[in-house]
Amino acid sequence: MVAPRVVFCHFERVKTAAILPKASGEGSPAAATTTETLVRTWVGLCDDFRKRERREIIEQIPSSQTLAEYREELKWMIRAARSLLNLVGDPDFPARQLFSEISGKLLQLEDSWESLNNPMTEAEADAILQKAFPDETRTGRTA
Amino acid sequence: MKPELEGLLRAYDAFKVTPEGPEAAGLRAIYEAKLDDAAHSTKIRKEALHKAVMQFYPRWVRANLPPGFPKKLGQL
Repeated sequence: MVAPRVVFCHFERVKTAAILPKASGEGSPAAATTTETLVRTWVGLCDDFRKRERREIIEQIPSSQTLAEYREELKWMIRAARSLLNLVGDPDFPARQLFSEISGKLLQLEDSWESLNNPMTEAEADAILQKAFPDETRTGRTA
Repeated sequence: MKPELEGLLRAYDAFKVTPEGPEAAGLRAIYEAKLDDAAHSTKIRKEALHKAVMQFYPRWVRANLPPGFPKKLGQL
């Protein structure tokens, strides 16, 4: 059972080379650019996902199927954001400004997850808001 | 709608809609500060107030959409 360990060591080296292109002082600018492109591509995908979330989950009442698909997609977006945050937080990452970009998006995605799993019912929420801000009609419409 | 609740919802909305990742943390902090003020003045726990705002938020968004905007997917 030696082979798997060899393979593992190989991937460890590949991973290190991809994440830390300048660590050895011989890093390739192309590798750094490729990694940055990967992160920027994800940022674009995240923007698309969040626009769709706004349109299909917030602005409209989603079907149970849409909601189930959204839940799965949101979980993967959060996992990806956490991994990328680790990547862009590396001291040798070429575009450190992307750290605040990814951490901000992660904050928004985690809020969406919290909202999706909010145990409070409409009736409970209305009761709390009525108590906090009395004389509300609860229609939500801006005056 | 009371201006305090409107302000809270607008602050939460600003955090939710910004496409700029670097701005999100600052906008979230503004919302949290408003939530702190509201919790203090109403004597309602901040966590409960936040959950109520989160629950009410989509209804508030839908109620403020232009007239005729479909409320369900596929609805004309």
